Amino acid sequence: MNPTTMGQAQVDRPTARLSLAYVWVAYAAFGLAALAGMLQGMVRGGLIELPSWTNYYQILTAHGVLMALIFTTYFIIGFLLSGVAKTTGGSLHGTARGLGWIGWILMTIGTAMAVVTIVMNDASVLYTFYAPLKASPFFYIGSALLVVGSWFGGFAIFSSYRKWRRENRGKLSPLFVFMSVTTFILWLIATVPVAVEVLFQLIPWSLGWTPSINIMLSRTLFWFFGHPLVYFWLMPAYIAWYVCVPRVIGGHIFSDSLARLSFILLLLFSMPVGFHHQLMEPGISPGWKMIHVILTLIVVVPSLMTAFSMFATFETTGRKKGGVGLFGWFKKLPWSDVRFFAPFVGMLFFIPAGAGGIINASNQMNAVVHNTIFVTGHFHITIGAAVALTFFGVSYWLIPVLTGRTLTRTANRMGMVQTVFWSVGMFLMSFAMHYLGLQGTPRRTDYTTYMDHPTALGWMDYQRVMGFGGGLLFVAAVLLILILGYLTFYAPKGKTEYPIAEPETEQHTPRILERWPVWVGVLLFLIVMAYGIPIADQLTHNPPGSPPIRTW
Amino acid sequence: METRTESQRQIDNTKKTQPEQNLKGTFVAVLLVGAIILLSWFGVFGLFLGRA
Amino acid sequence: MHLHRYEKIWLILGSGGLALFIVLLCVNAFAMGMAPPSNMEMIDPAKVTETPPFDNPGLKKLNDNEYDAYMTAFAFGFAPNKMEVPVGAKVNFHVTSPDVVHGFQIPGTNVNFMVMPGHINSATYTFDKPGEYLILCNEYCGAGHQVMATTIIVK
Repeated sequence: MNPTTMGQAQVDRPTARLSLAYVWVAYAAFGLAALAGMLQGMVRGGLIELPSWTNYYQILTAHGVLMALIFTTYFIIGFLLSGVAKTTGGSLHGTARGLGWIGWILMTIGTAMAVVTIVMNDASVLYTFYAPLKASPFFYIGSALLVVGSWFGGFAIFSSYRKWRRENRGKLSPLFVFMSVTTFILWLIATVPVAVEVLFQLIPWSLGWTPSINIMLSRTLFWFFGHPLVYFWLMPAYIAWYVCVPRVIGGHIFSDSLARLSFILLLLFSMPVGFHHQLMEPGISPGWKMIHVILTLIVVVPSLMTAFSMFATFETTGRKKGGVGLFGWFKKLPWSDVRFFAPFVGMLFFIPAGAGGIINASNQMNAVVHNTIFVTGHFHITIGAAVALTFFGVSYWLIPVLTGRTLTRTANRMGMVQTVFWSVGMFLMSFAMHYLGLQGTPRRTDYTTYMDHPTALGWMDYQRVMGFGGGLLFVAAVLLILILGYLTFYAPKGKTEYPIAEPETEQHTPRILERWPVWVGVLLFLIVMAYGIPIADQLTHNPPGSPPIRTW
Repeated sequence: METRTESQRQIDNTKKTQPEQNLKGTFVAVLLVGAIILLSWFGVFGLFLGRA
Repeated sequence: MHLHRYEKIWLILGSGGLALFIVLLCVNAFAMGMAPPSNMEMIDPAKVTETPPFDNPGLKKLNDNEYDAYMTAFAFGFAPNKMEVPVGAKVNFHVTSPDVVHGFQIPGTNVNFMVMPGHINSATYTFDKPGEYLILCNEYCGAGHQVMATTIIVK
């Protein structure tokens, strides 16, 4: 383990309680979602059959909503609030904490509403809730509360940031805070279209106040939100990679200004790109699709920068520790420290994940993989491996920091085992998914042989591999919950470091990077360019709308 | 003893060449990442053309 | 802002690779006519069964080896249920939905598109090899989604 900075402010008790409340709802949702996911894998592999009181699509909805929306959002807010507190003096002021708790309460009410409707089988519409499938109005109201609650988490961060700037005029903000603010500016803007869809289209329609719904518009608004959503998951993982991991390995931030620049680029180009999720749809012209494809490929550049920064941090640190030759530095990294190992494996997963993402977004090539299980494999190695492993790695030190306990050697070793199980399970499952997807196996489909069609029968072996991978993932999930429970309630008391790295030398960071009106202005301009004409067209030139339909 | 002098020399090197650190390993690693992206993209593009 | 020399080279190579992808995609989509399925035609979803040609779904022979296949995708099936074409036939699929969103995919081919109520979507495929091709719905559409499939026989 690395030397801890004794005596320095970590996170004060009231803030720690708030952060822990978020993190633990995240892991409660994660546990349920992992169970649902394992069952799906087993069903799809033909290994088990579900009892008659539930069905594949109900547990698929539960898995998607709990994992992709609840686990991620709660963890992200809990993590970022703690980091903002840590880097602005060790605490959140009263206003910020109050906003944080309002957010937590709203989100938890919303989550409960959504979960109840799913359990009652009144919301088997999957987490994308495509109209005209109609869920219970309470599912949509619950989702709206979840989103609005998450805004308060963002307001808490903005409030702390403003206070810090007032007290530190002319100074450059801490990198962690800058990145958190960028992430939440993205989230606030990105959730507006989905809020419009839910509040003005889905809720009135599901309550019977409006007879029909504009399908095309609802999908465009959803994916206007849906792609920045994945960056909302990714950016907090990048924060851990840029700011926390270098400290864990005893190194420094490679370049403060490049880290900030990459976040600004992510903010700008993750938004005007939603049509790359709608490439196979009618009613959007090929020209507009191509414009969104080009913008999508531009958002790869900040990830290329991140790849370089990560390797550079590892190389400079490893060389200082005596690594020589082309790759000698690699051996000098702390391989037995789960706080490094888990996020590092996540980074490795992100290499094929990024490559797969570029393939998905490549316009006409999307026909090879669209709605196949390749896509499911892709987002299981992005969010389910790169992001999730990073969040696990963060949790192994964050929870002890918040509870005033320590990550013991045994807990660290168990964490290593957990990481290996999760990684092997995810590798097997997602490899099978990518392979099957290229053969045309559809995603989001219950066990089926399509009346013993030879094409579908040929998929079964790999579907069993998926099920096996899902089993390993479930073991890893149970292990994780046990370790985190230990770290919350039983681990020995002590001081644990909140790892925040700093640049090695004084670096000049251009002030323009922190001029928010400039970047928000550019972003709004890009959004109007990418969406103005298509949305105006969908509003004025549309077929008769669809009535609500329940097909499950 | 020998490793110490070795690492000492490394630190000296880094200091001298600041800010151009020795990032040869990084460069090779990112080139590998690029190669993975190119190969998988052209693989699927080939599949797409072959199925047209 | 300082950029290491290797990082400059990496970003130039990386951006160059992305630009190459874009150029290839544009040429293939717009000059070679391989743009993704993006039919702009619309239809009243409540009146699909009374709107020609979808009132009578099936194959319409255009010439010796070209067909229009007018189809509907509904919860949970396709109409017509069975189709047969000779080897080498070029089939233009035109599909719409009277209810929810569906998918239309023939595994092993590039025929893969969304079928949305209110819209007609289209794709073309030339069946050069004989066989019984599986057509399946790849967008979740309800409790019977996994049985929503049909076949096209190529002899």
